[in-house]
Amino acid sequence: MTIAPVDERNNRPPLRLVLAPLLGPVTWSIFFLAGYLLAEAACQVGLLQSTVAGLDLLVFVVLVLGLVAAAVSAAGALWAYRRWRTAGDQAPEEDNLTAFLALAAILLNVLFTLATLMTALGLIFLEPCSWT
Amino acid sequence: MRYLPLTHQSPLTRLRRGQLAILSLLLPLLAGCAGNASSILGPSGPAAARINTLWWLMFAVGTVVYLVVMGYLLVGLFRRRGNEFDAAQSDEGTGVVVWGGAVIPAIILVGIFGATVFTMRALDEPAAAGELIIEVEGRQWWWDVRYPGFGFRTANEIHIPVGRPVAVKLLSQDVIHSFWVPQLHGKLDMVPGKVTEFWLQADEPGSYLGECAEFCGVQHAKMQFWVIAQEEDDFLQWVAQQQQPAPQPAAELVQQGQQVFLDSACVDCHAVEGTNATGNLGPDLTHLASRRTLAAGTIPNNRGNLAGWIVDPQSIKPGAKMPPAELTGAQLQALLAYLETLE
Amino acid sequence: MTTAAQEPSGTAPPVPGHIPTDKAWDELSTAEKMEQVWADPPGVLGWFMALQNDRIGARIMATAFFFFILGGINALLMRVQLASPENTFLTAQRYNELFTMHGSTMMYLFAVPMMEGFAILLMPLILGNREMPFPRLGVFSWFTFLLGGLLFYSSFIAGAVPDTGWFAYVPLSGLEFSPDIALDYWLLALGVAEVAAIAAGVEIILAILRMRAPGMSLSRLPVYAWAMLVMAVSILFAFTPLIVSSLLLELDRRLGTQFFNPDAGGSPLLWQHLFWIFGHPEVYIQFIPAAGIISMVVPVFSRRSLAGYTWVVIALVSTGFLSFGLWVHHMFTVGLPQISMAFFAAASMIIGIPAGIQVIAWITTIFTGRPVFKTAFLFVIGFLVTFVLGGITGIMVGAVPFDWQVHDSYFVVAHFHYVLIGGVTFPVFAGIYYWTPKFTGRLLDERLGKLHFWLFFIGFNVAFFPMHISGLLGMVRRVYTYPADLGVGALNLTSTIGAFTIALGVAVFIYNFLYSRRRGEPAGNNPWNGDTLEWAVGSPAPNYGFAHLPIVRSRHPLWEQETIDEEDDVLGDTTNTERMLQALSEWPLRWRAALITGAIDGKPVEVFRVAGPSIWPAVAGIALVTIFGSEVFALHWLTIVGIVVFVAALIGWHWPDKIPFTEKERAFEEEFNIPVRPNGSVTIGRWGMALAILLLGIALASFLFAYFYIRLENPIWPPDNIPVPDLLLPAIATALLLLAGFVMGWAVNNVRNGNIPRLRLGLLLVFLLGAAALAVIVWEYTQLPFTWELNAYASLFYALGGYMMLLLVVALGMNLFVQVWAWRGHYTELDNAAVHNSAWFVYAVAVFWVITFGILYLAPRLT
Repeated sequence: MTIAPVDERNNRPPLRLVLAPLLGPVTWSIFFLAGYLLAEAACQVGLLQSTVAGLDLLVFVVLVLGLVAAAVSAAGALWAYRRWRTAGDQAPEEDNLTAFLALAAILLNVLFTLATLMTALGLIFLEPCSWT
Repeated sequence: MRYLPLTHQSPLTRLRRGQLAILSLLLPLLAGCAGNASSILGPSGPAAARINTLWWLMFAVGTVVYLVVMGYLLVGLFRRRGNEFDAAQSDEGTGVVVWGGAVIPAIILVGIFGATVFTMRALDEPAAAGELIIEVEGRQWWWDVRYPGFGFRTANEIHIPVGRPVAVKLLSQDVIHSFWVPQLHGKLDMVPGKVTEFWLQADEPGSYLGECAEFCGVQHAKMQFWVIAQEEDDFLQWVAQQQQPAPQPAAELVQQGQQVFLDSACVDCHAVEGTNATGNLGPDLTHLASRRTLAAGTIPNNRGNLAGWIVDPQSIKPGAKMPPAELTGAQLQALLAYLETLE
Repeated sequence: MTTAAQEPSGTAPPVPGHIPTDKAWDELSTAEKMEQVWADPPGVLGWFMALQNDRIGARIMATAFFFFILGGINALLMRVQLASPENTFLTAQRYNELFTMHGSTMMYLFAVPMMEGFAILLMPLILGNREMPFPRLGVFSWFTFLLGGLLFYSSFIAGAVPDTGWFAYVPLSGLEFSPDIALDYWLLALGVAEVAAIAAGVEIILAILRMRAPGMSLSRLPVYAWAMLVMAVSILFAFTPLIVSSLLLELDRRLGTQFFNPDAGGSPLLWQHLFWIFGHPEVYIQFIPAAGIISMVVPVFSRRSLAGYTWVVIALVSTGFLSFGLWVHHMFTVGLPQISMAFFAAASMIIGIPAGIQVIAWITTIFTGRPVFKTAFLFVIGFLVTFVLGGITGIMVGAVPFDWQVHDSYFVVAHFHYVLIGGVTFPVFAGIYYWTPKFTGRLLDERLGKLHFWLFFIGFNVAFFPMHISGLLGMVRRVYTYPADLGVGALNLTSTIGAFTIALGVAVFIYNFLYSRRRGEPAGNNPWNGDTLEWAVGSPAPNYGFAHLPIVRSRHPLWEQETIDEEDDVLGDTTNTERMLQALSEWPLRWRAALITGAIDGKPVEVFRVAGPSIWPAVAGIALVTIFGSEVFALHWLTIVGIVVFVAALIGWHWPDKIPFTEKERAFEEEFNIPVRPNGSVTIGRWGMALAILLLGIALASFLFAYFYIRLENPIWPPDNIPVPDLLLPAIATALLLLAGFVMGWAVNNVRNGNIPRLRLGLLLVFLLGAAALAVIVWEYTQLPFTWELNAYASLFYALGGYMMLLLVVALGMNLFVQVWAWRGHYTELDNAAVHNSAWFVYAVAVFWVITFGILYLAPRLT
């Protein structure tokens, strides 16, 4: 197998692709912290105490935030998937930085879409501010 | 040392047959030991029973997962390999990682999360719990128990009626404690500056051990209490008895004992309803003699132990806040006689 | 630089820290010259100056192992006490001290330093480079860690041993309930050891991102390096809040602030939040590098590459993120809203997925490979058997209602020992058996190793499996004794027997190590047929790592590349990189040259000089521990002495030791088209500064979290009739600082263009503006109608303001340092890294102040 020299291969991938794997995790982190602090604020100080569409307003707000965050991660996964399709067959992944980053971006974004959905959807079934 | 008359029944009778099969298959040791008054696996109330169900569900799933993974490992370690097999060139296995490592675990975990959420929901405090509210304040290292609706105070022993939920408000003014009656419910912390609340319900009359579960200082280990579940009538009778002030001493020795008590430093910390002793730092002694243990579950309540506890509490519970009492033999006898009348 | 001085010939090199030799410099061979330049100085003073990464890494590991033994002795004493019900072997107080010391030692002084020691020891070799980016920071880290740990254990001598657990919950750890200095020991001695952990973390991040072998792109990075990268980043994000919370508690204890006092608007739960924001990631900070070790050992002993490399990498990265979303699962029983608990329960479940990916990847690698049952591999099997069990119980305790039952019971004790001994200590031993030959040159004895393994493995399960059952039977944690009625006597006796079996195993290991170090079988370069670069160099590894830096074209260079110094197996002609590396193996022999590579693609970017030996990092470490240690005893004069020495040491540490930029350097630059920086790297300096600013930002975020949390605890804000603070003075300070930022930018532009007079003017203006802003802020604080003792709001107001004042003082100090060198004509258009760094710091302080201003002064107006 002929391997091209270092200097000519592995051209530096665009910054977007380098950051794409972190999109899902960072989005989840922001959603998680925002949702958690919102819940604490609502239950401690008494914000957001009404109902929307049969749901507690707090739950509703966190749910919307969660769905937006999940959509962002999912979009990141889709974007990365397109990059991966075009880059994937040029060389094996270890010699193909673009394909590696794109694959990592797909996986991380899918995982954190799931994480976001699971975090958000559990709330529908709970009494938000009850303790036990 | 068997110090308490316990009326528990074997938790095994409450296990379903399937659970029993797993139990007898895998953890005979565990089953054999489950007969104490503090086993999570021997629930005696609806909350603990729900959690017990969740545990057995997770135990079953977890056992299967563990056995499958270990089986995979064992076969992987010891299977025969052909001579022509060239491992170094192998790049197979990603599919197994995807399915076995990510997809299947994700499904199982979503399932367990669902079970968690539904159990949490099922453990919401029933509305009926508000009919009887008990306040428990964790102290270093004992429990101050108050029945605001009935207007009395006791310590280290909580009586509840069976078959109905009871709300428990938890407080602390010193350090963080945690209130735990394993056979009735999970634990809930007592945090200074905060009131936490949950509920207990016992299905059968009996004595259930309670423990402090958050490290709270030198005698954290000896900070226990008993929850005594009684039939409604017995409970009301107990309440009526606890509402009474202490009886006025009749016998001479008892009168002397009361005087010893009231003249001593005891009154700085202890209260006896119906006397001038109104201290609030230690347990209320109005009905001391009706309680089963001394020093927060440390020793059974009998004359000998009581004497030892009064004279030298630091050898029984080193670090306890109670100082030794300097008494002559006669004073001690009188004091004991008095305290024994506080039924 | 225009100095065209020729290198002097026939004398020792003009580089600080060289070793005098009896042979004339010219008579030495290339390898000898290389060894000379990279070796640590001799003698007692040299011992304090030594900074070779393998020396420092080994010292950190030996120190961590020493604390492991101490923590183990604590545990054995506890197990004797618990062997039977109502035992009186230990007093309650002594037992509480021992479990506190055991937990604190294992968490702070063993596991994290051990992993960092591994990284510092191995990273340059695995990455195919010569050194760590900041060797002096490594020296500082080790002295701080060692002395901080010894300070912590000196509490036994002082008779004031910490006794409130490794978590030190307030109010129990507050002044009222812990009035003696025991808790000050805990906060300050461990606090300084945490500084050491952060320092090492910074260094590890930079090594992995910027100091790899040419061609080692992210897609070829060994999994171990990925793991260490995630660990080190997590250390920054986790240890900083811990240091902040320790500081707040110490302020409560010593200065009467009210952060945690519920009677004055504070909250004991704030401590728990800040502690577990550190405390939960902490266990992953231990597990992630352990998983990295496993991912190195499994493929080598299975004789095939790791299955699902990319999946394992993303598992590590996602574990790093998720581990910060778990902290509240230690607080499920404090009475939180259900919605909050559900959040954290979800994250606790999700983190099972990356764990599952890795476990299946390892087992699949074994399944499809050809296992070789060496001791290192046995420890991997032991790890899998125990860690999987601990992982499953971990998911169980993430289920909120079940956690209400088993929280703080022995079930949890069993769970976390399965993940921390099973998941961390087994891999550590696997790593030690695997890598020791590289550094001693001799294999550890296999028969003793197997004996060690079986004693350790059986002892571990005998000790900890029964604890699951003790917990289910209702035995709570942190109790010095238990009543016989609980029915757990036999289980506890079994645990005690297991604990002593573990100790026997460790004793066998110590004997094996000492014996094999002298008499073990010689290892050769690559005893296990490993695939990664460390096995390409001799054993023991030379000080400089690689004389000829390798070129990486594969994830498994030693398996798949015919040579590691050519870019191509087929093409005949040599490439620029090949020629450059060849040249770099013969030059420069007078300064410690290492290579900087691209963070993503691993392409060569710069040749720079790694800092050489210096006494100042050791002095700085000793001074820092003195500062913290003297505060334990409230010896403020000694604290001040320590601060003076510390600042002096920092200046000495960073004192430029210029070496001339000669024609040779210039020729190298031109021939290979790569910058040569004999006076330190701008890139590395800039990344270092960026990480320092990140750290300070995380600290600020921790303060802001505290502020927000306390805000929620107080319905009226500001409480106690404190008026909403006036805007005028802080607005002036804001304007001054923003102006300072702009002027600093102007000054930087000027030095880039070589306009030194304007640089001097700019720096002077920045100093004046910064000093004016500081004066305004200090004046504002002297006018406040309350002190920090009034309530939690007031305490926070002073804490945030004090933090900003401290940063301003540091910025001014840095400015002075740069200014002095600017007036001495030190900076040129090419050589001005320090100016850049101080500029970044000024910008950061300005931004931090704007945030603080918004929170302290503007936000209360909105609500």
